[in-house]
Amino acid sequence: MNRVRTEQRLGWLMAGPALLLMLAVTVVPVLRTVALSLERYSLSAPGERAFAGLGNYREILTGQDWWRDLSSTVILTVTSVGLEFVLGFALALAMHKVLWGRQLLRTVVLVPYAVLTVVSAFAFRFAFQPSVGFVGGDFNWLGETWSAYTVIVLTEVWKTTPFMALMLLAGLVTVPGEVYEAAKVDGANAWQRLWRVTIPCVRPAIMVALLFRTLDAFRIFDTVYIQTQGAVGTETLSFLSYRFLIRDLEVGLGSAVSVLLFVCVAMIAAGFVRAFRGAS
Amino acid sequence: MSNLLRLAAAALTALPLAACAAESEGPVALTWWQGPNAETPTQEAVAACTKDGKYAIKVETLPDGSDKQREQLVRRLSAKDKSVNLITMDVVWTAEFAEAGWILPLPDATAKTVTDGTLEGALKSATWKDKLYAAPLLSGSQLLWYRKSRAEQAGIDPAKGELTWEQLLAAAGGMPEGERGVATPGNRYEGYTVFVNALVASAGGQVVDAEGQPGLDSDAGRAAASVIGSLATGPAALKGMSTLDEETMRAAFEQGEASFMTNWGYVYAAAADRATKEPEFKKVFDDYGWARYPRVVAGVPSAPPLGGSNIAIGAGTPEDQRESAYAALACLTSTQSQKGFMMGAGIPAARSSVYDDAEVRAKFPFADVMRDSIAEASPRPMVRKYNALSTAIQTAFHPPASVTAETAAKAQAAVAQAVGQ
Repeated sequence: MNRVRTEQRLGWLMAGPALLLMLAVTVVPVLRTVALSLERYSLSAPGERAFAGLGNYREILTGQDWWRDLSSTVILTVTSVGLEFVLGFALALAMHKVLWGRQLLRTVVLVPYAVLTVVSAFAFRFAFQPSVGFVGGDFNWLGETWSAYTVIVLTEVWKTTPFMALMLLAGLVTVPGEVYEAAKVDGANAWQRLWRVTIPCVRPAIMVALLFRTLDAFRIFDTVYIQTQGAVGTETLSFLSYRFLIRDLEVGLGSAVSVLLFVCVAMIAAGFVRAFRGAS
Repeated sequence: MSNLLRLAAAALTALPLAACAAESEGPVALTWWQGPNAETPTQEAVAACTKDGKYAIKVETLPDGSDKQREQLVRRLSAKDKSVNLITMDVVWTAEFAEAGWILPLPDATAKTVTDGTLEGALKSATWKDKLYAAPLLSGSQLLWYRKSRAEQAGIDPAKGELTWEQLLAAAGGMPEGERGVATPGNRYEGYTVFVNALVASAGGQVVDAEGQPGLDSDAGRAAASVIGSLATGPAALKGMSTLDEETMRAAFEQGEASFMTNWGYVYAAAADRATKEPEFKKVFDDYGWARYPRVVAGVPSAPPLGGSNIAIGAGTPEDQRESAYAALACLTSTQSQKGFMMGAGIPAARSSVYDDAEVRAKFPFADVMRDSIAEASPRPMVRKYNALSTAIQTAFHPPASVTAETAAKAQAAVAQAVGQ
């Protein structure tokens, strides 16, 4: 009894510093953001600072910006994660099945993921620039809504498909070979083996990969900042919070957007976890 | 052991002393936050002003573009950074920075030196609530730049300065494809607000009046919107108009795709520079024409856009450094220094006398047009929430091809919300 308690105390002592650090860098800023979101506070008018209750939230949720940016964020998230999943799965299967040059293939596939988002966003912007970009033509890709979405989604897909492929590959590796052999003996063709054996077996990996990428994609900022500055209807929720906080110096409004964004992300995560539980 | 301790104690007490000594003996250290586009004249001005060794100026280079410069500066200023002493400010920041208490009003003696001979428009941009908060360094207005030979072929003479947008678009539209472009700002950025504001002012209106009331839902607002709409959907629109900024306009004009453009004075110096390096460009450069900004209403002089930069003193500057900071500010914006910037970076000066200088006139044949244009320019609205206002205008009027006369009313609502918050 005594020994258990001593060990417990030692455990807390050893984990304590890390725990405090975690609290200091995650919980404190979150709480502060929540507190700031309840204030009417603009950096350029420090004298007019006042408690506003839920006023900032009311202003955001009754205005147009939030709903417009929410829809563009959802469009970007769904299309980019969807494409990444299909391409990533194909790449993962290829990496799994290929016998010759496996190391080389895996390395090559990973290269885009090693490129900084800012760099790839610039690369795609230059590529799609009218008349000088190598995509060619006179069409102003980043000047129209649908085509700007296309460029942003392409940039995202190019960059993060490797991540998706890697996560799915990790799932594929865990599927025991006997299952395939048994399916073959039972006369299942390649297509049936994919749908009836592979996908059910890697479902946990699929869930994790989709969850990570969705959360990531939902917070998209850099690509939009560099390619369109939020113009032609491509402004996302992260960009809205940047616009309020950094450009307009509206600390209260910007914090409220950040809190709402946090709530969205938490809801997505909870939804995935529920779906994941239901599936397994 | 005790020896070691004593040594440590001695070192600790000696350190702050040494630091103190260095500060009181050397010249006062000032930091100047300056944009990246005038490196040589900046260094020359610093060298000239620090010659007598009373103070030293360290230059911190800010990123390119007014929006990004402001983002970096306001973060430091709102944290009361002691090292933000001299600030090069865009003309539209004055109200916001002064109202927030980030910059110091200039003392009377400095204000008198600064005001002497400075163009009216530039002074207004440095004043907030009847107090001078900054010293105009550079000014500038947009002109209509055109290819003389092509304008002649199209049958118009912009040089008279009476051309309207309607005449310009009609003439340009009739020119052959590949050279009939009229380049104006079109990207969603500050330069686009400059464009909208100049059109509204040229039509006799105001984006926001002196009491902070928006005035876009008016005949002037609708006239301005019609100009943008008919340009963007007509034959004179450049491909990619919705992403045009100063530099891409300049590229389209130099390349020949555009025969007309509304742009700042620096494009002339840039072209002159290119002409000395590339002999085949010389012919294009010799064909450069310039005129007063086009009119919106026939018979009513235009109100060209006003740009420029002022130098202010950061409020975080410690008391004992302020005297030197004011002296440095007066020196950096002196006539001599302004001439240096105009000759070296091609940006027009804020003092009238600089335009009479023989060297300046030889290098800038458009000096008189520019000086008149600055004098009659339309400043952008002076409001504390300028940035939100500007974003609202940009969003409502973007992309240019979507603009119709109804855009004015829509923009009015967005502006009211941005300024009213």
